[in-house]
Amino acid sequence: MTDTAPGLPRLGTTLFSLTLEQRRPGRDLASLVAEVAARDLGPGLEMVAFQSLRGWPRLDDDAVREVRGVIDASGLTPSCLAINLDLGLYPGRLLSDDEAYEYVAVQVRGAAALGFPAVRVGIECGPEIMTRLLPLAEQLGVKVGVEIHAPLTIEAPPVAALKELFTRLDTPWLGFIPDMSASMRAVPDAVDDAHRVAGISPELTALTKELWAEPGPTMAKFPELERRAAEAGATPAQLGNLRMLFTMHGRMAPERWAEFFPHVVHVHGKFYGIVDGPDGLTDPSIDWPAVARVLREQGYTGFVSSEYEAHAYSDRYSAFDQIRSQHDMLKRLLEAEPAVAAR
Amino acid sequence: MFDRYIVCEEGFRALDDGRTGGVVEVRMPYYRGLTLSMVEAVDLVLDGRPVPPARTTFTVHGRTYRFDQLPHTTDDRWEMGERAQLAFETDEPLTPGEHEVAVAVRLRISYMPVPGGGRDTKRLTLAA
Repeated sequence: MTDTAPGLPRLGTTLFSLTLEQRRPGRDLASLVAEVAARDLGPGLEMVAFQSLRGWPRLDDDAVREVRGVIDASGLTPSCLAINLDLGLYPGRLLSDDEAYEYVAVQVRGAAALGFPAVRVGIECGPEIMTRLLPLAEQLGVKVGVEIHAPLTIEAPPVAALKELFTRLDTPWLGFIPDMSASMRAVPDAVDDAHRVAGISPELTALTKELWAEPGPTMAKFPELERRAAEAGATPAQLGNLRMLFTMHGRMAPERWAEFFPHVVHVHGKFYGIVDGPDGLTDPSIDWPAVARVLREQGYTGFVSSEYEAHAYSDRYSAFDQIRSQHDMLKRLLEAEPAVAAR
Repeated sequence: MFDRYIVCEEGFRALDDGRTGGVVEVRMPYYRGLTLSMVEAVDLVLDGRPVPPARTTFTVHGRTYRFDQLPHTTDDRWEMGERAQLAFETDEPLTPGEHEVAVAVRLRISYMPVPGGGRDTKRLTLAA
């Protein structure tokens, strides 16, 4: 596996990038992981437990051995396992704190059994549950990270509450997982494909992108989006697509990721498309030079999992090729940035 | 996001147990598997006519459920990409040839800001 230079963030892949690939008949975990390794898209390997592991979280010893065998044979390094807290498991009510803790705890134990050093949870895993998870995380040696995904920002009250908690507990076992969806500079062009299929006019897509790019909190822009979409004759389903652009793509300045440190346990290198620009590989919707600078300045040496998500909008591009491009771009950016100490 | 994968092109067939009706194969419109208690509805509209959920059943990996059983089923899961069989009864036998099959899936995903699920309509051919 090609690695970045020592002291730098390390690259990797989450199998979530290969969601469409995983849906192909005949594809299994072993062949997918082997292909990630063969294409040198490690060294880190992340996966979504409820996506890639049949029967999760109740894996018997044989299943655990099999998954570990697949990872070992690939030469990849387990980086993070994405797990979920399904608060809406039962109709008509949310899980109690006791139930929520158990729902997550069994998955943290499962992650440890599979050899993952970290798990990803969502923001629905609040301070109460996180606090209760600390002894287990410590005992198992598994870090628990709350993903900061669009539409969350550093200012969102649940994020501020977690930051206060992590600062107070001052532990390496709990923290954040920045996801670059929260700090984008443009809505990705891949959405055009999805909108064409949904019958949304290019004019309405362009209008939504412009509204997105205007200053101000995204949530405050919903009324105007709805008004203008209604004027343009958008159906409820089409409005759903347009709203999704606002919730899936956040506009936080990438420099603000610095405020999440030192409580960062893993990073999601979310992206929607790398293109060949005049100066080489570039990402029109995410400012990777700025992100790389923050990671370097903070001395982050954990993994950045390449998380290609344009498959949600289009099946036109090869996720494998896109990750290759992102790795090449990131390696160049990370290794070219002068270290803070050397400045 | 995964709406267009819901209705499978293959596997559309008439019931073979003596009842009138058919089977359409469907896939989860989400990026991961979900416990069946979170599958709120898999509604079928055949040739423009809604089929009542009470006349449909849902089968995953060989286990068959009525829709009024799903809310209580927390020990089984519909996996991503897994083909489930939506069996339905009709008053009249299905005619061979093309049918319009519309399926709407409603999923209860607690952390999503919008209702989960999706809908897909395809024209499927029933072999003679």
